[in-house]
Amino acid sequence: MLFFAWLPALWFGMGFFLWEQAALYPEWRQTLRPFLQSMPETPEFEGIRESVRTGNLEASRHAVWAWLLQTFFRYPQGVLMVMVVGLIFPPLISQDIRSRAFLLYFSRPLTRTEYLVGKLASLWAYLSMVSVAPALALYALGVLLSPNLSVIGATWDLPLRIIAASGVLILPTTVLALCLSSLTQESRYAGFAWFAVWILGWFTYGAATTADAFNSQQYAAFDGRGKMVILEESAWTHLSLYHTLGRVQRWVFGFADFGDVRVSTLILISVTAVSLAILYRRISAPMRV
Amino acid sequence: MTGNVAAVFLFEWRRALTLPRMAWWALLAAFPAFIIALIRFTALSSPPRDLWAGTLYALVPMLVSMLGTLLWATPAVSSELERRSWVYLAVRPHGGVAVLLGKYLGAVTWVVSTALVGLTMAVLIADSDDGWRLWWTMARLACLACPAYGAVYLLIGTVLPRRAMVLAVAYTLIFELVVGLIPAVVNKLTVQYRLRALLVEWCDLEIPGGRQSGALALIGDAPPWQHIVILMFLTAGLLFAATLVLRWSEFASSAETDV
Amino acid sequence: MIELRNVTKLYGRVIGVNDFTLTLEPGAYGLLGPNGSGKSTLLNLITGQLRPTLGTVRVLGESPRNNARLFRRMGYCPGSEGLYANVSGYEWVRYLLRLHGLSSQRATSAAGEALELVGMSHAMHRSIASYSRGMRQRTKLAQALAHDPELLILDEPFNGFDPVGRHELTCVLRDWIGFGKSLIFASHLLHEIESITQSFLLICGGRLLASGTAEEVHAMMAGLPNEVALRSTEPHALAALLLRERAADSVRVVDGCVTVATQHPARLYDRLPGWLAETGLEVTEMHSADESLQALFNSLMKMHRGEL
Repeated sequence: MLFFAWLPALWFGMGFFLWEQAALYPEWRQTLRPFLQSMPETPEFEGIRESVRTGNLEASRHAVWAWLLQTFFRYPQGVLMVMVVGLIFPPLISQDIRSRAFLLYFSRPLTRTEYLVGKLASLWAYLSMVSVAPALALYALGVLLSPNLSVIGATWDLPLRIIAASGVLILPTTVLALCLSSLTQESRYAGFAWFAVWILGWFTYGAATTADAFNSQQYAAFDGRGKMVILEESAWTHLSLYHTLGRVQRWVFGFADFGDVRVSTLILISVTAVSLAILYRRISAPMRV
Repeated sequence: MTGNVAAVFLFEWRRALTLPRMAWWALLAAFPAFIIALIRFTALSSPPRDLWAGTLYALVPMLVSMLGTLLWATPAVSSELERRSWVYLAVRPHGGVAVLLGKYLGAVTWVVSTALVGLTMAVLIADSDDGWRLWWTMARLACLACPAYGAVYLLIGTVLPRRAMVLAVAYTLIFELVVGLIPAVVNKLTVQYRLRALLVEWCDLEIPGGRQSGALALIGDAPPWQHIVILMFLTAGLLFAATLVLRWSEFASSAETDV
Repeated sequence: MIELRNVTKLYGRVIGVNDFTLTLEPGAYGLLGPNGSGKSTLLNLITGQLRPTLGTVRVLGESPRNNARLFRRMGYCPGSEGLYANVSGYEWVRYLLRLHGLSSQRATSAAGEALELVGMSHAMHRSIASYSRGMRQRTKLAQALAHDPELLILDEPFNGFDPVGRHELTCVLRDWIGFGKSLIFASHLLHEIESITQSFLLICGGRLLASGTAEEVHAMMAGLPNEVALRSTEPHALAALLLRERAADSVRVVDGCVTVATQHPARLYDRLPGWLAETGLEVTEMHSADESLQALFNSLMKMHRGEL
């Protein structure tokens, strides 16, 4: 798992290398074409394409680095996060419930908060190894593969954004995972619920965007326009935790305003708060000897 | 042996009639209807039949069949090991194999019922002109998908009971969903390839680029009966492999390690 | 009934059972050993749950591994709690009987009889989640007895029982043996085994240290240095007396207690009252340190290693 977590960093590191080389040597700009084609059709990325056209790549350095890091978080690390947590968390609390280990834990000078933080910290440690550490290493790799150290001046805030994005990724997901583990004595139900949350959410997102895409075709057909109209994403897309996390991470990396991600932020805070409340209630419940 | 399997099947079904399990049943049955309703009532006009076909396929023979069998078939052995009840079953005549096959049958029937109910609700909501054909196609596909995926997950759960759920999800993501889309020989090993081919044939869907295009590699041109036979043999083969693995495996009980 | 030939079981580098050779005729045997001695491993081998790394296991003349025919003749009550919480004891025992191939009707009646035998008829239709530990233990025993096996194997069956329950279980098992059935039951407490059977197998560190009745085991120990502790009002005078009479190999006096090591404990027991009468010395307490189970094991281990 750790190997797969660090492997994408090499791929994205190549992205840093190509951009910086293209900034110095015009003949490298041809190699950027596949990356430019994969960028979204939004005003920010239009600015990046413009800077390539005019040869002023340094102006878009921060945006490109941020985009690479955000994509790193969204796709390989996002999926890995789901798998790593799914591998580790199911028995964390469910086994304690089954074996009545609470009686052992709480007969010692250990508060419920300490117990929870201890359990969460084990998840945080693993997730840090697959999210924060590779992302920071990717940033360092980007610096090392750049022609000179002046790139740090333009991108000094990115390590902080990486830590913030990791917090956005790790905190609500680990609390939710432990909440699911606390709801059952059998770890397989907890594991299944975890994967079901992500899979069903993804399907919901897919269905909502399918309807949106169909509607935009209809708009184009009605108005006689040939090009597809991009409509605002449907509210139903918020049911996908994966995409909600992605929206907030987009804001963390500077590709969205806070106003655009207010609802998503609220959803993540609510998930965290409700999960914590349920967790506390479950581990405080009377224990049968 | 048949009696043992039947005993396990009936016992597991009786245990399935509890509130938490029925809640899972209801959630999985309602989800396709929810998604179809989401599309139907947010779309400006009635989506075409092919879109309904693709969506219903993704929801019922794929999602519900996979998720349902993942939940019930994968932990057939690991749930007994976790509960430390395996040894009570294994010291009965043909106990281990009976439990394996009985739980498999229980899982498949549970998921098929979920899929059919969900499919019926979804088709009614979609209100497509070709509703009956869509229903009949997806019902047949679900009845093929559930046993096949159940057998795959059962084998995974028998080979590696400790990490069964994660490995089953990884298998699904990597093999069925990614490898299954590689236009090469390898995708013919997936269950998805067979189901997709049957979907195109039974729903008379248009292949992008026509039958001469590269898309043919994703569905093949074999007749439907061949896909069905292969799926059935695959299912039987995986079940046989699971019983062999189980007979070879050792699961010890120890009072000292009991908590 | 049971034959093990040079059986070794390894869990990776950990030895569960080490070069175990044993032949048991039909009867009742106690398998005695401290925690971690290999009792459960041995029972898992006998019940076919594990394959021996080396050697062969035969139960009732057959290999127990995946042996449906043998499982019909054998009943096993493991030490682990593995009961389903959301079914009744009756439903669970009946289910396991159905797995034995009994018809629905026979399984129904046999389950009821077995639960009545272990004293669970009043609670058998309640959910297992509501059972106390002792009730669960009784239910576990019922599932082992219900199909009327020839050989019963029990792993720590007294766990969770109160003294009354222990007595009741002891009576059930004595009756079982009285019907001519065979029994092997594992425990780490000598008195539990002695209440059921006089034949026991001593196991420690995965090895069979001794087998036989209590007298036979103690006879093995005769001639080995034994320690006897004597408490006296004049310990030093007593120590001097024992040395003078050459009744001790060594003597230790600590806090008014004289500990004597001797190769001839029987001679000491025989002659001590006379010496005390002659000298007027008083002994207020006497016990053999070697009567404890751990001391017995320690001595047997030393014998096994050739140190004695």
